[in-house]
Amino acid sequence: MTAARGLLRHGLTVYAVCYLSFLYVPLFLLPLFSFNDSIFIAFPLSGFTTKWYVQMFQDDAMHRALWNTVKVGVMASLVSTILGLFAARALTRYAMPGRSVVLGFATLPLFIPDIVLGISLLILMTSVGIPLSLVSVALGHVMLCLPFAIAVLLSRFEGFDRSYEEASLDLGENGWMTFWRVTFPLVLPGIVSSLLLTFIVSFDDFLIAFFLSGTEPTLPVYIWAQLRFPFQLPGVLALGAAILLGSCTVVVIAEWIRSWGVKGETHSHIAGI
Amino acid sequence: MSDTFIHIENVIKRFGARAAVNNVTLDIGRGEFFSLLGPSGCGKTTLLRMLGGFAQPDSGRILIDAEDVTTLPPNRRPTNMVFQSYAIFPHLTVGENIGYGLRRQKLETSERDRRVDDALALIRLDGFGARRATELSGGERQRVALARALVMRPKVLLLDEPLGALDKRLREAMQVELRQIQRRLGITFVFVTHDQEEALSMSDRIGVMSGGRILQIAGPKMLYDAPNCREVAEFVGTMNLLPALVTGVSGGNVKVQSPVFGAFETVTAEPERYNAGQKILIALRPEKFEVVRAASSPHAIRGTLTAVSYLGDRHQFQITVENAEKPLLAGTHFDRSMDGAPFRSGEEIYVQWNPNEVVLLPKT
Repeated sequence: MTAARGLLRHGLTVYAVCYLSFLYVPLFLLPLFSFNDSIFIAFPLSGFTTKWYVQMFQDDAMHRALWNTVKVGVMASLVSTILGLFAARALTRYAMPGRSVVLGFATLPLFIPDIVLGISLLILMTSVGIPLSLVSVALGHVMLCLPFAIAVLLSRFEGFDRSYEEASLDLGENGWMTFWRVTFPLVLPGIVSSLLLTFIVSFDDFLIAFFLSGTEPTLPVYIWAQLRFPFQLPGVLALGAAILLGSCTVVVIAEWIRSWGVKGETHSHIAGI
Repeated sequence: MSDTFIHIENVIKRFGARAAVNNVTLDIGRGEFFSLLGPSGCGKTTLLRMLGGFAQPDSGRILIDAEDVTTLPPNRRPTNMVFQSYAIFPHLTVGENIGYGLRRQKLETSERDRRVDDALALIRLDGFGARRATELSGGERQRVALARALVMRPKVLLLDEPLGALDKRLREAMQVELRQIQRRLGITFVFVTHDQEEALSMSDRIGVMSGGRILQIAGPKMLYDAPNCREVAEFVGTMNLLPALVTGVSGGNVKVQSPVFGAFETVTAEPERYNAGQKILIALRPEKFEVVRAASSPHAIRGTLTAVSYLGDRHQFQITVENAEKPLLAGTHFDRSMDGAPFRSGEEIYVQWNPNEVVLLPKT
């Protein structure tokens, strides 16, 4: 029995290692070659250098693209989080018919290929007459981000005890002040988490930005354009490595904030029983 | 009951086709400790929530201290609620929780602090003001919820099964404490519970609810000794229920024929409810039976002891008697007869009873 079980456990460990390697080893190539002293992306490595990073930081076009991406990301994350807040509150508070259908449609954009979404939005924008700009990109990104915002905020609202709001009303507060004194602070971790997550979704998007940006590229679009020039490639690698690090950090923080809030809640709930 | 303080008149509340509260009329006195008792789903919590303003009646009206509050929202009622989940705000400290409602009233900071400190003293949690709400134990949270409501100086305090989540010892201690606080402050308490012992031990009066209706309103002793229907008799305490036939009514006396107890005559407060030839139920509490080896009363039934269970403070006997569908239950403090020999399972014994302790219930 123990032999069979030991074999199974070893097999599973090997499987898990292979699985994680498959997911993450390609990602490590990016930072690895970004420190390689050669414009050719190939083994063997020829030496350590930070000149690609220096080159990256001196590139004005890159700075502009970065700033564009941040502007789009802030707009998209704010709008999608506010809309997500309304949706999550309505979905959890009111017992409405067709709740699951509404929820399904709200999260459907997750499964629509970005290229389809991008082309559709491009057709829509041009036919309605919205000029292609950072605003059109942000509008597209709201569509992309909304399912993430709803998912994060929904999990927050679902663990929310209705009697907190009732207690506030009972103690003499009106509906508006109850929202600010009770509901908002309790869902705040969810809001912060949603803002960070949607910002990253917007920041990392290439396809929709590619279709909807006019003359002002976002960072991923800019990177793609640079790939045409071989001598720019190491700089792009450095930039990619920096984005990877930044994205991971933000996602980890977002997840930490979300779970931190939930833990506090669960703890108090258990203490109540 | 002293003067009417809460007046509930023909209140109906429907959820879909089901009437959760079905035409309830009820008066509660000033300073009274009133309990709504019933199984889950009987409508007691819905009635309480309508008193607090969290639900609106479909018809009927509610007056508190002669003011019609039927359609007032919770923040404009002279009531405060202790929620079943306590609803202690997890993002605030204990002091901020208790002072939550005082922020709205334009009080001096010093006055507010003083009232929070007084409330903490009342629930014997002095010095807990700066603690985080999430650090409290279940019993402490219950007391903070109580203080948070009482600090508002409500005319009526509503309590929704506030002791249900506590363990037995803590619950019993809190029953005494709640009762003392209520006496000291003189506030009207409306207390919802499904625990009949809790209701009996704390309340001035109890309203027993079932299926959205109030079955009986009475003091604890009256409710226990003279339930007015089968449901109340079965819900409050343990009861032996047996079918019987009314053979005659004269004045306050009713003649009854029972397959188990034979023919006997008993007194009733409501002789007008009974007619000769009517099928009724007779009810007798287990502790009203006396178990003996030799019968010394004309009202004794022969039976076989089929089970003896030890309940700590008393013993419960199951006794099989002729013509009864179920064995009779008899409770005694002693497991032995006057002669000193313990009763044994399988033994032939007599149960003696007093006709005037028999409760008559109309068959429904």
